[in-house]
Amino acid sequence: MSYDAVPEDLVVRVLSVSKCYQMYANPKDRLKQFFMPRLHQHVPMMGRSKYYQEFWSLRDVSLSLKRGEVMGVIGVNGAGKSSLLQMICGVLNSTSGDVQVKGRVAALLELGAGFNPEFTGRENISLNATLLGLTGEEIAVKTPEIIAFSGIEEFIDQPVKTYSSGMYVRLAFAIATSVEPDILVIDEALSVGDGAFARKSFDRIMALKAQGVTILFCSHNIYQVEALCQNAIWLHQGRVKESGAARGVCQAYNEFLDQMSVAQSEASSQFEGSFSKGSASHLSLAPWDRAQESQEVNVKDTLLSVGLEGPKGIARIEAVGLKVDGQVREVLLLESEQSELEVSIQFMSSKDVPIPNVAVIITDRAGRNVSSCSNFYDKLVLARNSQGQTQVSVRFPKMPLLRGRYGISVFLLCERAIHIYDSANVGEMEVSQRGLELGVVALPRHWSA
Amino acid sequence: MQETPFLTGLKAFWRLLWQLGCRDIQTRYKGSVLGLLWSLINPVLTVVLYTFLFSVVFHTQWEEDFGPKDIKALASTSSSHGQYALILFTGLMLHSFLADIIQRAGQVITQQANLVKKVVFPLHVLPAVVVFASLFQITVSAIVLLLALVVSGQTAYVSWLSLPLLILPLVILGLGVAWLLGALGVFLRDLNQLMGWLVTALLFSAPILYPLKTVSQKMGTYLYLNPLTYMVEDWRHVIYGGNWPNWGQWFTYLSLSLVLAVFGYAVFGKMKKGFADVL
Repeated sequence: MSYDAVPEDLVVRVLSVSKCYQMYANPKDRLKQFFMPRLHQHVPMMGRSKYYQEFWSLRDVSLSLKRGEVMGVIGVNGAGKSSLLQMICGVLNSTSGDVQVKGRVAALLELGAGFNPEFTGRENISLNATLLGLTGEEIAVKTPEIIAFSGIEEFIDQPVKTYSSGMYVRLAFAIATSVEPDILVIDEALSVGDGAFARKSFDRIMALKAQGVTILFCSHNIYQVEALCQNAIWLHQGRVKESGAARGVCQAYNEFLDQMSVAQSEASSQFEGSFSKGSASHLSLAPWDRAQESQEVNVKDTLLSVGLEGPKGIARIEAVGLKVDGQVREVLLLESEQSELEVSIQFMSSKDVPIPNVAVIITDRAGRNVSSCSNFYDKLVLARNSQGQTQVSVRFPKMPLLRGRYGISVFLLCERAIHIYDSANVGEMEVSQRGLELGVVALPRHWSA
Repeated sequence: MQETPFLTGLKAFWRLLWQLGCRDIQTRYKGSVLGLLWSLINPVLTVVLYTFLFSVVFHTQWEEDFGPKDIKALASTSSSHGQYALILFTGLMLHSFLADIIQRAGQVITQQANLVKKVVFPLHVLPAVVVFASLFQITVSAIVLLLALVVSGQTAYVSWLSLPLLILPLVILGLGVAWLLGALGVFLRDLNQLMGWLVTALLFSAPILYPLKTVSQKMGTYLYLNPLTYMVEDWRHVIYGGNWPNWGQWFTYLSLSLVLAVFGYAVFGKMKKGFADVL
C-alpha cells in the first residue's frame, strides 16, 4: 500500500479495484497452469492456455472515504462486500487497481482470527497490539484498559483455547477498538457478544464515531446503514450499482430487494402459510432483522411470556399481547378498515441504561416490510416502574391493510433506536375484506360526485 | 522526534520475533516433565550414539592439531572416547542448528494459515522465529559445552569471546534458508519429503563425524561447499585451540550469507502474495 499521493483529507481510496479468483477443479490443474500455458504458446497442439475457471468477485470498484466519514456497504450475499473490506484491511490483494489507506485500521471482520490459541489472553493482547502497530510502552498502558473492557479478568492468564466463543470475541473486540484506530471496518454487526457486553460494544463504536473515526460499515441491515451512514455504496455482482447519499442508495436497494422477494415468493407460492423466514431467508428483509435471530412465540394468552430464556442482560421483552377489537383471540382474524389491532408490550430494562424504545413491524408473506412504527419516531417518551418494567401498547384502528396474511414482530431498541436489545416474532394475522379491492393498503379517501 | 516508518517497522518486527520466539521455545517442551532440560539431553544422547558407532566400533581417531594448546592436554582427564565425544558435540550442535531450520521452515507458513488469510501479519517474522529458536538451542548447548570443558580441567580461552560473532554468518545463512524454504514449502509440499535427506547429507559432507584430514586434499576442498565445514573447523580451533577465528574466511562467509539472505527475503516477499490463494 502506498502512502503518498493521497489527498490530505482522504483516508481510504480504492481505485478501480478488481479481484479475480482462479478456481481449479483439482490440484493437478494448478501445477499444469505453471508450465503448460508456456508450452502451449510454442506448441499449440499441446496443453491448454488456461486450466482454471475465473470468478470475479470485484470488478472496477472505486470509492473514497474522507476523514470522519461513515460509509455503508450494502448488497446481497456474494456481491463482493467482504472482498472489498478485506482489501481495505490489507488481508486480500487485488488483481488489478490500487487500494490506499492512511492510518491504523481496526477490523471487526473475523474477531479473534489472529489469536494464537496456545497463548494466554494477556500474551495475545500484546501480540495483536504489536500487529496493530503499538509500541511497547503504549501496549503497557493499554493492556489494563483492554482487560477491563473485555470483562474477563479472571481468565486473562489462561490460554485462549480454553475460552468460550463469547470470551474470545469480547477480548478481540476490546483489542481492536482500544488501539485508537483511524479507520474502523465493521462487517455486519454493530455490537458483539450478548446482553450487557453487546450494549457496551455498541456504545464503544458510537463513541469512536463521535470522535471522528472513519467508519466503513458493511451490513444486511439497511435500517442501521441508513441510521448511521452519510454515504453508502451498493455492490451487485462485484460492481458498484449505486453510490452516494445513504438515503438514496438504501431506497434503491430496498426496491431491488422487494422485486427479488416478489419473484421468490411467486416461485415458492405452493408452500402456503410458510412465512417470510422460509421463503426469503437468505434475503431477510425485516429492517431490524439479521443482527439478532428473532424468537418464535405463540399467541395464547393476553400477556404471553416471551424472552424467559432469551438474552440475559440489560433489557428484554417480557411479554407481548395481541388483541382484536379488544378481545384476545386464538387466531387473529381482522376485517379490513373495520377491525382494530392492539399490540401491548411489556419489557424490563436495567437502570444502567436509558429507557429503551419499542418498534412493531408488520411484514407480508414474502418477508417485505409492509409497515412499521416506533414510539421513538412518534416521539412518545416511555417510563419504567421501580422494578425496571415498562408497559406500552399501540393500537391500529380500522386496519388499513387489504386482505392477506401478515406477520407481526416486536423489537426492543436502544434510546437512539439503532442497537437491538431483543426481538420477537409474535404471530400472524389474517385480514379479509368484503369487496374485491386490489392492492395492499386501503388509503383514507373521500369520494365526491 | 518522529521515527521513520522503517525504524518503527523494524522495532515491531523484533518485538514480534521475541514474543513468538520465546513462545516457540516454551511450547516445544511444554507438558514434559524435564522441560527445557530436553534441549540438553537430546544432543547428549545423540553424541552417545555417534561416539559408540564411530569411536568404539570404527575406531575413528581424532589426532588433529588444534593449535599450540592442543586438546591432547585433555587426554589426562578423559579417555579418547570422551575426547571424540566432545569434538563431536561441537560439530553436531552446529549441524542441528541448520538442520532444525531446514526441517521446520517448509511448514512454518502452512501451519499458520489463519495469519496468512485472516489478519494483516508481517509473515517474514515466521521463518525468522524458527531461526530464533535454533539460536537459543545452540546458545544453551555452547554454554554447557564450555562449562563442561572448564569443569573437566581445560583452560578457558579469551578467544571464546569471539564465538557469538563467529556464528553470525551461520545465523544469516539460516535466515536466508528459512525464508526460501518457507515460501517454497507453501507451493511445493513435496519439498518437505526431501529435507530429511538434505539434513543427513549436510551431516556427512562436513567434517563432523571425522577429521577433515582423513579425506584427500581435493575432496577436502569440495567439503568447503558445505557451509558447515568452515564453521565446524573454526569453532573447534577457537574452543579447543584457543585460536582467534580466521577473519578473512569469516568475512567471505558473511558476505555470501548476506547475499543468500537478501535473495531469500526477496523471494519470500514476492511469493507471499500468492500464499492466501493456496492455503
